[in-house]
Amino acid sequence: MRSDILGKYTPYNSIIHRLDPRLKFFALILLMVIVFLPFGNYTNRFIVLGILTLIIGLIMVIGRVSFSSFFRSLSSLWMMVIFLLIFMFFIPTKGDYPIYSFNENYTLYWDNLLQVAHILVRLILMIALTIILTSTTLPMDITYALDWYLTPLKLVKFPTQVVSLTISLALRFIPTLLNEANRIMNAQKSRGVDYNKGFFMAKIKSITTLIIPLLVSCFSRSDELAIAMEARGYDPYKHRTRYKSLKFSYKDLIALLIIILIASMVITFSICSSTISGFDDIINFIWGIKTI
Amino acid sequence: MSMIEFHHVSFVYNKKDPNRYDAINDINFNIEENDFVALVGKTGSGKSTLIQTLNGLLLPSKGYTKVKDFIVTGDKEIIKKLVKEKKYKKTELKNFSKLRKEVGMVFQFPEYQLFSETVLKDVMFGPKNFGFKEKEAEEKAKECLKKVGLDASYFNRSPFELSGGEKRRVAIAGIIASNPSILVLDEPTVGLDPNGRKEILDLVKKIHQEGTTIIIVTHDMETVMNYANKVIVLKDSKYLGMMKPSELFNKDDIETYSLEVPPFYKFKRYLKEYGYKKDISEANDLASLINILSEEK
Repeated sequence: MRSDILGKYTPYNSIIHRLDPRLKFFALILLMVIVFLPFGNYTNRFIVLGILTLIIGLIMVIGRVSFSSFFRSLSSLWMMVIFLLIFMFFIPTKGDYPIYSFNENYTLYWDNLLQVAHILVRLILMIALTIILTSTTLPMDITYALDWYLTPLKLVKFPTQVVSLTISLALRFIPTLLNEANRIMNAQKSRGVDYNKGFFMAKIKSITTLIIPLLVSCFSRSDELAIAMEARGYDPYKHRTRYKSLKFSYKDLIALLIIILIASMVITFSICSSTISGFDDIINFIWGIKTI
Repeated sequence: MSMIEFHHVSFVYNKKDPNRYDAINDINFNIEENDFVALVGKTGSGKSTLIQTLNGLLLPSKGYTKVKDFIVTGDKEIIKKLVKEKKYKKTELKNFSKLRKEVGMVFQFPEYQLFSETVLKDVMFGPKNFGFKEKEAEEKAKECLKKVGLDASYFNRSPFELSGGEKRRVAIAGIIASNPSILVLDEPTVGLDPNGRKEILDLVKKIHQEGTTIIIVTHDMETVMNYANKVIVLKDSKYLGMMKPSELFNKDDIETYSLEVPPFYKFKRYLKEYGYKKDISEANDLASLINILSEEK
């Protein structure tokens, strides 16, 4: 079982590592939203996504995020690519740029391929953003950030502390469960299970040998944890203090301004491309290429 | 010829990461057929990593592990050399299913690997994966369950309703049912009461007497003293030596190995410290020590 599936935290001391987790969380959400904005035609979409890819790539380099673990995370997208290709190829659609006409009723368009590529690029960028957050931020810091964002809900008596405890426990137990899964997989491999071989049914059968023991172990662990917390008098509804307090420095402010600047530019581009008629002509003129 | 050979075996976790950790470093030793070897060393010395190179669960970053005719290595230069010399095909160096049949491995808390609806089915799972026919696997499973002390009344019970010790015995039966010639146990008695511990260790001893080579990873020096015929010491990822248990426990500088001396050897030390003059170094069990002491009287 790979432990870096969502970007394991790596203890470097980069600028990105040192940023306030609340800022990183905000930037993640904001960048994810702008990746999914509409940008009119495909030329505009790919130009904006290309620029965002460069920016996100640069952040990955500065944050010393492992590109190999990023590419390994993408390997699980293959099934989705195949599914999307099948879906796009065999569902008749209308487009402007035909590739091949099978008969009068069905024509394959470049638009189908571009649509698949567009979905994939957006997903890849989303994965990259998540990996940047998890590789450069301690799980507990992510929880603190989330807890801070939930604070206003306390006004309506929402039990934010219970939510943040649940999230922090879930994050805390990810490495433990991955280790457990690894141990079970090794034990099953020693009994002749090959997790890489076989087709659908064989895979399901071999995964069963992992899932059942893992669930048994999870339930037993959660029981033990609940008892241990109760034994130490834990009350989720009591006011709690923190050992670590988050501080928003001037560096965080600069980073926030940069992120807001990028986001505003992309949002403006998105609004212009979908509302101003003749905007494509201006873009055509600027890029010097024909848009599709 | 030795049954198991470690040739300059090193293994690094998180190689390209700030969390890089050299778990084992340049390990060289051999284990003979039908040995009962205990692998000792403090936590983090590399014991569990080393045994996982025995059936290809981990591939040495440098050097290689040889088990019978199987080679386990992740060292590209060694692979290249072996393929070039036509000693092995590349696919043979990447496929470990035959090796895993030869090397049975029992991990810590093996009861967590149980998943089938009945005890019998769970024990049959390994042999079936290794190519035993249904009938053959069933017979072997029943034989092994009896060997670990679980009679026919257990066969159709769910493994999840058994006690901790019983679950562990089912898990061990599941490994020995595949007929391995080498049995590797990683702290098999962790979390068991003294009786349960003795039962498991006596069972391992019985399996050894039937001709299986045993490698046991343990922190319990009583186990080393009472069951193993050789002991291998690892410290800080390095191999310190292989010797008889009595030889290790009689060493004056045993503290440098970060090992706990069994009470029997502590008692011998006290005798020496309190001025007992007669040579008691040859006494390696309570009976022989009593003999020497009574002769004196």
